[in-house]
Amino acid sequence: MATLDLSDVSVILGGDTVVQSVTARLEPGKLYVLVGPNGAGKTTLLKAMASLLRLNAGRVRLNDEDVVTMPPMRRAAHMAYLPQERTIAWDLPSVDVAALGCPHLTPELARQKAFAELQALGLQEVSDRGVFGLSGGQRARVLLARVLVSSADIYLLDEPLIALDPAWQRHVLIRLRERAAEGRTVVLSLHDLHLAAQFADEVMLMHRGQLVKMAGPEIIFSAKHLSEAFNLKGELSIVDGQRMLRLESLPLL
Amino acid sequence: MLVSTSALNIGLAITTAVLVIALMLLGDVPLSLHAWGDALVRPGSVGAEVVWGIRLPRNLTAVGVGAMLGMSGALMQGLLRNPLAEPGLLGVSAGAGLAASIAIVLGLGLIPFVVEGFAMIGATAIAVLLLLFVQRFPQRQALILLGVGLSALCGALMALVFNLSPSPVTTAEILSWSMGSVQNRSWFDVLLTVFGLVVVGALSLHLGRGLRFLTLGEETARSMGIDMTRLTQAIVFGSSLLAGLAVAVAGVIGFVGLASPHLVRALGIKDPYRLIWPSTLAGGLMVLIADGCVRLIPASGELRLGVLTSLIGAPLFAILAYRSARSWMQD
Repeated sequence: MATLDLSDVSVILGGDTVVQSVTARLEPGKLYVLVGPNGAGKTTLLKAMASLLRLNAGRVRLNDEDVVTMPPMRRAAHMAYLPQERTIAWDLPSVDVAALGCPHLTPELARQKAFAELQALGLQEVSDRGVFGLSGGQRARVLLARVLVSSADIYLLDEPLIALDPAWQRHVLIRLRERAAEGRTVVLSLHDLHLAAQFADEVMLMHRGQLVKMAGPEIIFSAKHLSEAFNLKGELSIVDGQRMLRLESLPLL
Repeated sequence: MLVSTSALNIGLAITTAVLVIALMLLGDVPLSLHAWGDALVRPGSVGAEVVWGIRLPRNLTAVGVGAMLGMSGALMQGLLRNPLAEPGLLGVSAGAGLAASIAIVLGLGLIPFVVEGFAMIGATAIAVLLLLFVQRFPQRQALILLGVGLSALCGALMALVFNLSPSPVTTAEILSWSMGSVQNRSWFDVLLTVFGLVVVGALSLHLGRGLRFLTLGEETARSMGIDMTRLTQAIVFGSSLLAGLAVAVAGVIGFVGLASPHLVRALGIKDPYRLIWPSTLAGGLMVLIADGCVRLIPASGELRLGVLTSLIGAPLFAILAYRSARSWMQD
């Protein structure tokens, strides 16, 4: 179990402040969803958490240890990261790509674990097939399997639902919730606010590089935040015990 | 996977060993059964000189040079995640070639090991430039751009050397050297190839696993604990050492470094880490076969090895490229 503490994190890229003074505490057992309009800084914040870029100010600490000074292999054992970039350079079998997520196991055990995860993601029939022969959605699930087989305490996923159909989007979020329930800290960025409302324990609303608010969906998806951050009108209601978000467009600014 | 990596390694190693022995039967001087008997039991006999002093070092040099190119090609393609990468891409071969031509123009060609030494100095100079650059800019695109630039610059300077060469004989000498050969190579040349393969082979075993994670991009590799600067430096160093040694020992031999990894991939091994050793063995076998053909094909003078590897390698590569393109169309 691991807690991720962000204190006053700022990142400047190409002269622009992309992430500005973000402070947050991410605890085990919860699923955090980063939302915000394009260019809000979601990807940069996830990379900052994974220590994939240099911070211009602030610190990211994993269980009170600075992630920047942590040995890379130990950091990797704690954190599994799924980038937005979905390229795979070589036509490896799907099971071998998924098995990359557990490098500390023997190749045989890693393949067994990877196969089980591919099976859970509906890919058992293509597990030995090269990834170049898969559809975009299948390939996205193979890459997700690589993270889901990992024994890391923290999952950082940048737009994990890209290329997935609605059924698989929900199924993947259910699996991620299961991982959170096992005691992991799961952080993902999403553009689908309906899914964010339904699945998030806490929503992190980013706007212009700042963390506007981090709270439960009921608070984040208020009329005020929806109109200010997304230029949308809407309200969150509870239907049959489930959070449902109704959204309407506002005139373009 | 069509074949397992270990089965392929064993198959390639056995085929190479058999061919090394079979090709020892070939040569300008036909050996009688009696001479063969002498070669095996009487050191210092004519038979022994021909077999152990000329034919075996030549065959082993061919295997060693090909293996270095095959290993270098596999490492470069894995690092740059580009199926078109090859040992010459970063300009190391061109640097070695340029320095060797300067040695020939300066009339140092007849002094033993001077051309080879110059080639290694040229390769080292380019490798040092690349390593300094990588320390500052580890991104692969930047590395490729610098390599292409250095390669073009060395090519232009080599053209200048041709242009200013004092006599047609010198020009012909450079041209002949640059076409590659393993004729009249000694055990020292064999040792040079063994040195390169042992050093870079050990490095690959230690760091090559990083290439597997790099399949999913630099960010994923870094998030999995891979130090990209260190990996890039190690592979640029290793690949440069192999390419430089290959040029120093045998001149310019094209297409082997590009085609060997593709040949192995066509047999179903796509993992850039597992591909390193089969590609090494395939490269050795390719150059050995090419050198055998050089000796078998009747020509007024001996055909040059580098010419033949390109003649065989280019159509083979075109077939593999066609097969790949067809599989991409089906996606």
